[in-house]
Amino acid sequence: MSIKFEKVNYTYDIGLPSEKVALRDISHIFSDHCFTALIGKTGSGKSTLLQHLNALILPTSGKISIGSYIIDFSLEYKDGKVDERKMKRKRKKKLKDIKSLRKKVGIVFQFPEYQLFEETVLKDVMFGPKNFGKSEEEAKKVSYEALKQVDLDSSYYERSPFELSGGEKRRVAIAGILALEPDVLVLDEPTVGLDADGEKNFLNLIKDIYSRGTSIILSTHNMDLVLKYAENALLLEDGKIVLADRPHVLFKNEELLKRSVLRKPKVLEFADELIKKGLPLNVENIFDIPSLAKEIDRCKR
Amino acid sequence: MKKDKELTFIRDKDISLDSAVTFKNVSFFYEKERPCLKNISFDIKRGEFISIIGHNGSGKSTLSKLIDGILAQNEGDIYIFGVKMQDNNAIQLRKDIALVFQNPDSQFIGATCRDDIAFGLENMQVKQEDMEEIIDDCLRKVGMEEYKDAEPANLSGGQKQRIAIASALARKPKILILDEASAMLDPKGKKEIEDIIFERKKEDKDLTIINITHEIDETINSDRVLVLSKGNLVMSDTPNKVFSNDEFLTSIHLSLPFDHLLVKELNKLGYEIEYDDHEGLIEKICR
Repeated sequence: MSIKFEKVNYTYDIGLPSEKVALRDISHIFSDHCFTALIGKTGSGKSTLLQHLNALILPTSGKISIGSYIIDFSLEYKDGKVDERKMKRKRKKKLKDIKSLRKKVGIVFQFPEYQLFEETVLKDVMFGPKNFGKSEEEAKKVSYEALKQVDLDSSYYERSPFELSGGEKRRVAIAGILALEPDVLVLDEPTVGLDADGEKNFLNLIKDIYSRGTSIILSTHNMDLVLKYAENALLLEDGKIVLADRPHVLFKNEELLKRSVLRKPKVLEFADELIKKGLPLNVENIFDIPSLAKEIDRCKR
Repeated sequence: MKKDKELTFIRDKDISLDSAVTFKNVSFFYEKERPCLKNISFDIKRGEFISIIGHNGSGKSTLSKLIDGILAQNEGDIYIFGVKMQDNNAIQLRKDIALVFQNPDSQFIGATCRDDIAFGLENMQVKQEDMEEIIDDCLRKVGMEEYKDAEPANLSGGQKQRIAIASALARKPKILILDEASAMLDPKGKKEIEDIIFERKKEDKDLTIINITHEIDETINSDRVLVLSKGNLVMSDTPNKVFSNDEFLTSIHLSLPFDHLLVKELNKLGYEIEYDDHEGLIEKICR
């Protein structure tokens, strides 16, 4: 399922002193089965954009097509001016069947472990599917499957989610979203607060989910993650998309990196040092430490 | 009574003259059955740059609070520059120690960077005419000269932590403790803090730096790494020695620094490279 943004604008608190433009003329296609990383400074619009992906926030103007679901607030003109009356009528129309959309696009917020509330792990994961109309039995079935995907076995089912470690809690929260069998999984800063071990396991999990056919769209400050896992990087600056390309293209653009105060991934920083000393590395082949070692090996032969 | 007070500042003759922080069989617990720190002994020398690493819940932060006298140990003795820490001298001994904490937003006191540094100086009753010079000097040390009149709200996390370090340095401490000072920062901010610590260490040979962290890459330039696991001090050695023991580190859920991980990968490909330092590694690879 692809998601298409056409000239999407969003302004918080229209007409209030706190009015703030968060997204400006965003046009982008998140293709079918993508792994896209949203990056940019704090306040550049990452989270606002993510919340548009399943209509938690509706655009001030513009059109979003999520699979066959269309939210059309594109501007109507009359005599060269925006036709406010027509726009008002458009906004008043209630969105139909928003539930079906929420089922297709699941969002995992920052620190999802705080969203757990049920008595047992299994009940917590079952809450979503049951809410979307599944019977007790069906809900159980998809929940078993979802918990298996996040590597939590049956010994966890009857435990309280509150006695688990931070990493385990996060897994339960994600299982709760996976149990809805979404086509697109959206994650807001998923690795913040995990230690090195937890982060590694967690990213392998995301990679697995992706390889099973689910699209991944996430926001992050972790450039090592972007280089290693993402196929596309979307750089936001003051609510605008300034770059949408492969991560390697972004990390070659020194000026853009500097302007967005982004640090290069460690492997590329290290590669730069070697290149300066005359080793003709091809950075396009470098994604992580093993591939850096292989590329060094290739140059030395 | 007065005599008693004086006595408490006498150096213990068993502690060597160049010791900054000494722990002798220190244990700390909230419940006796579950100690946070078990029988810890170590000796940190004056001017040493120490990194303390360990998994979440290993006792790292408890350790820093014991050094600063925020917590009191249940068993054993702690010495600051050879003087045994006791109830009646802890406040005096703490004057030589400055701490920087984790959260950049919870340690700003002033309305501008200048005010924030001045706060500590006022508490120490530094004369007004001397203040500006000290403030400028400390801002320079953390590379924030241009931000003297900036408001904290307009600073990034990394910049806020740099100001926190400047405020700590303004008190002219002999021991600087950073307790997960970069944990809440983005990669750019982490690097800033890493660079500042390294610079301080090079420029101020007398300053003892204790960096408590779970960012393994920050520890690579330290003189010694102390490794805590479940309340025990399990290793205390140079970074190279500690990180050559990667199976053990993995078993206590710690990973290797970037450079060491790369060396390991290169070894797998048949290159016989040993790690000395970062520059050396670059040289060896390019040779």
